[in-house]
Amino acid sequence: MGTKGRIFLALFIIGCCLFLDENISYSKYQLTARAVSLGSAAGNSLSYRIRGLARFIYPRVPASPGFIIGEGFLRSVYISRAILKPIVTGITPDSAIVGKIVNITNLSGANFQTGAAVKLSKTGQSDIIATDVSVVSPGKITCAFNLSGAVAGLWDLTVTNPDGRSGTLPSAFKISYSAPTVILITPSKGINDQQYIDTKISGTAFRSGLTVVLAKTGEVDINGEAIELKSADELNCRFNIYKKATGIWDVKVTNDDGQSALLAGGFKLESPEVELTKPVELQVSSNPQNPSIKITTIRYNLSKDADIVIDIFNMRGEKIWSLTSPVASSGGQIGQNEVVWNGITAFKSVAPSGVYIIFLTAKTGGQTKLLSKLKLGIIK
Amino acid sequence: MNKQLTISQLTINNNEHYHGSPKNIKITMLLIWSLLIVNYSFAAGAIVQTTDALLIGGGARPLGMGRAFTAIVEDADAIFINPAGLAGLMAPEFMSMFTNLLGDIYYSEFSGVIPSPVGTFGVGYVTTGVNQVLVPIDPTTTVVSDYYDDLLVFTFSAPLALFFDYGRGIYLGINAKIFNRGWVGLSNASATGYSADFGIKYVVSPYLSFGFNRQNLLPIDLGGVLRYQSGAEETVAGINKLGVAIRPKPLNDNLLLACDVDIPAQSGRPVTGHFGAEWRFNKYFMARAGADQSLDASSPTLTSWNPTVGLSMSISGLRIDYALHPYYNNPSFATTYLSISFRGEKWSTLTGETR
Repeated sequence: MGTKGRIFLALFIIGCCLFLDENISYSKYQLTARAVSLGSAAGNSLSYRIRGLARFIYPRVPASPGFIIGEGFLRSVYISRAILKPIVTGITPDSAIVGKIVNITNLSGANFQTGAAVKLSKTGQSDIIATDVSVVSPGKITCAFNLSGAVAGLWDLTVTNPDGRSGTLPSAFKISYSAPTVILITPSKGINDQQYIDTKISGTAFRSGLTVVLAKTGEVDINGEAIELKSADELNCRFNIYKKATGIWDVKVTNDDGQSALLAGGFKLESPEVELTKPVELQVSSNPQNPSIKITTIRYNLSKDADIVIDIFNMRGEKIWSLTSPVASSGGQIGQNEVVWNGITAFKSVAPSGVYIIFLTAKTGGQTKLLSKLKLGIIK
Repeated sequence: MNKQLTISQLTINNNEHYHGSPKNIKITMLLIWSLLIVNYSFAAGAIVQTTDALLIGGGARPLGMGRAFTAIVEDADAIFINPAGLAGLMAPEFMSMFTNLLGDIYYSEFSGVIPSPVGTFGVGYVTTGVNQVLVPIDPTTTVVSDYYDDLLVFTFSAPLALFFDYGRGIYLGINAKIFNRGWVGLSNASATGYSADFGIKYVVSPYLSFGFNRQNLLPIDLGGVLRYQSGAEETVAGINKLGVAIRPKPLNDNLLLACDVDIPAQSGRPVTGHFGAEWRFNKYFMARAGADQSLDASSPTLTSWNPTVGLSMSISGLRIDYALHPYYNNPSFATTYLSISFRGEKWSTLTGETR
């Protein structure tokens, strides 16, 4: 074989190697063909030299079959671009709710080819095949998953090119059940002299195996009993509220997957008669603009909603200030209430030093009940 | 000539004397208007106003009549309502009253008056307060203390005609008042202060009289202020009390009707009215009823009317008065007042000069 023939043979071997070698990637600037070594890298192309013989250029991004061939006499050589395996690096969004159709806006990676297929897979479960797959570029795919009937958990994400080569990103996508919500509890209040109260709770995404509790800071939870799941939106249960602390309780529903929902302040537990659950607190401070004006804060806790009247009398028995808080409004609601007297009488005068008698009166059912009488001293 | 007149000759006890002359009316109106002008010239301005303990009482008899008493004032308790009325007394008299307001505010008042040829002298003492009061010292500290509010009053009253050649039937009276307030066991929390009252009673006839009393007229510049040890200052709110009293002649002095109006000297407090009636069954028993308008922050008008009733029994100069005064249409606020008074024999120097 002459020199020309050897060159042709060597280049043929190189081409074959390039064609067969699956390990070529952008991160590996290495050719396995013998007598071929890496020359230099510049711009968008790689330059390879066949030692002692010739030099050709291999594009870094083989987006088209036309490769640039250097130094003329190699034109007759058959050079094929590398065949690369798809690589999956991420997915956006990376989670979705069971039953929803989720649009994937960016499945990122490399070597994606037009016509690639995408799927989610999980051991023991049927694959979820993506629809509307669009290979925007070799590094980006958009698609959609229909998650109806899917099982919650972490799923593997696989991209398969038309040539059958595939890449997988394990546990790339999380499918969850919908978190429950609690919208309403009926009745929304009870009286703690009764043993049980039957309630109906409305919401969404209730699942079999859920638990229900009434929760209040500083108190032991009241567990829902005899829970009957009517639908994903409604359940019945009962609570033992006998002698439990009065006040506002949160309604908490927890699904079997651990997701929970809270209806803050959804349930009021009242006593049969309105009364104070704590002693009334009085706090006096000075008006920042005028220290001779004393501001009095009155804090009290009610055992049930009621019309509350606060009357303040001076040392002469004159009713100088009065405030009526309607039932269930601020000042007349179960739990803690706070009323502020700004130190100005109803007659537009600054309250002087001395003693003030404060009457805290509740009105329920046509009855008037004195809850507390306090003697407040103001010193200037 | 006027110097020869005596106290008794100038009182309404002489049914034959009628003093409703135009000149007397002019003098009375001049005095009242002068007081009002002086009063508003010395308006307190922005300083904090406190109240006078005398707002509570004045005696069970006035309270039984709805506190309509400014034109009556014929007892020792006139010190607390209109000192001018003391000029009509011809015998020494002692009076006391006790109550417990709102179940917590104790209130006692004592007064004694002695008429003399140059006028009537008197002294009054009011002590009121509240025990076991929560006193927030700072946002985190509250102490319990007892509050006291004492008032000492020195009074002089005389007929105007005792000093001038005119003004028969016009009585004048003045109070000098010393306030003392504070907290037991707390430092920098007590206060002392001074003020004065000036009253006029104009006896038109035995059947008609008018009264005016300007309570707490002393301006700040003249010492009419309470000063606390902490440096805080408060004035005592002034009130102009105007009243009229009528004894219908056909009823032989057995019925007494009265009406008062309290006009605050400074803005803020609403004007209040008072009506009262007294019926004398005999020389031992009397019954009273009235309507007292009180300040009421929960009312749209900021006032409310309260009915009052009272009874009186007197034997040999000793008189016991009882009054029941509900407040704010709330039975739990009904307050009872009890007065015990003693009127002595007419002084010889005076009785010898009576008709």
